[in-house]
Amino acid sequence: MPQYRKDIILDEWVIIATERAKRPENFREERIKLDSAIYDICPFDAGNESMTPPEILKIDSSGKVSNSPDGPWLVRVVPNKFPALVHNAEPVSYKYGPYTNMDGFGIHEVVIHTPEHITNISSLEASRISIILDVYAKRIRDIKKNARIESVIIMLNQGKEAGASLEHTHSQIFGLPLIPAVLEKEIYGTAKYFKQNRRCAMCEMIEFELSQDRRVVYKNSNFIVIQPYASRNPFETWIVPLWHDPNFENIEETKIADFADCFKRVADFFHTELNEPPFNYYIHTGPLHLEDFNVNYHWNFKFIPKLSIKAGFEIATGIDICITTPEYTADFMKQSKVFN
Amino acid sequence: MKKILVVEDDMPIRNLYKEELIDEGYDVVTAPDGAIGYELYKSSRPDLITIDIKMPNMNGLELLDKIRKEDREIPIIIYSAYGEFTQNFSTWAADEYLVKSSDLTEFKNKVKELLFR
Repeated sequence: MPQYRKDIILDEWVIIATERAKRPENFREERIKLDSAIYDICPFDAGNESMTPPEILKIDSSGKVSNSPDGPWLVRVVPNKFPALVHNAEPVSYKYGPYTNMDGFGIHEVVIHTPEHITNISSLEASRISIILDVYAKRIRDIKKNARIESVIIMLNQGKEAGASLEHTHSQIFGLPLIPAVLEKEIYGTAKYFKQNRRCAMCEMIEFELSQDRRVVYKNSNFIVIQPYASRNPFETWIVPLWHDPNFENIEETKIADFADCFKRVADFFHTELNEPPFNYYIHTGPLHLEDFNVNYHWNFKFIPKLSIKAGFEIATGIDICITTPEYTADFMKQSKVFN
Repeated sequence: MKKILVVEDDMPIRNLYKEELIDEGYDVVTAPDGAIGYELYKSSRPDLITIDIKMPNMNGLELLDKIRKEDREIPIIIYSAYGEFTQNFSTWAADEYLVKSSDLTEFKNKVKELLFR
């Protein structure tokens, strides 16, 4: 029988279609290549740095922050050359009849993961992924100095169906003068859970999942990889820190390698076992300047492969139907050599 | 006199850009699609190129890529009626991205800025 399951973080229902569950191995399909594969000039390649704005942050070939505009690099962060959000507007809202609008103030940066024309982040070693994750934390800490930025979203689009416009692996950082609805719902959902149970919902979830061992795919000293109980998407995968902290940017350098270890294994799994599906990932970290509001929130990282299509029911109700069970996909992932 | 190549499939817009740029004192050649635009780029040696993105016979991003393979220096403005391409990082091979507007002030300012930078 299909099952409604409550997502305790978002405080929302999803439907797990247990009876028409698709077998995990059936998600391996031929993929559509990006249009950009037909272009020869990639603005993100080494040698084409002049096609991008000057970098905000550069990591040199020794893995250190570089202040020199020249020389080899491993990771570059540049502002969007043609930004949709601008940093010189004022985050002032205006009333227009019953509506509210605001000038398009914000920060939009691009993180170029590698100087080589690599199209899949799983091709990078864990040590290189560590550098990228450390860059994310550094950028949030820097953006946090801007009191007008309320939240930071870091995300990746890989593959055309996931929204990528260039195949060279890169991610994006958005600094917003507001708290986006999904993050706000997670914060309210966890606050509601805390009010009812006097515990962080994510900490309780980790404890329960470890005791059950049904949806835990992998664990190291500092992180857990799980298929969420109320999964919205086949193979939706969460990487969650085992310690409670509302904000990712507080992460200690010593823990980043463990984060990268989990990240690399999940990316390798998608690459080798699911035939490189398009996917998105994002970090949800608590709002930057609302420490009291934040206290029960637990930062997290989500991989969302594009293996199913949201149809009318999902759009009309906001209730997602997941066409396979997280227990089924967790078993399949645990059997893979990348998690052993 | 600086020469500008305008590659635009919509004839009224092509003619409007041509007249406005001639009024600004430039020599202007025009092409109705990407393939002819590439031929004119080779034969007329312009100082700056403006390219519409959505065009038949080689779209603007393909033309941009083809020209950039041969010439990293020539200033190129790419534009579209749609803001969606601001999220397409292929446009970064151009020097400037503009959303089409009936007010050509920004367009003409960018042309001047890039020609005399």
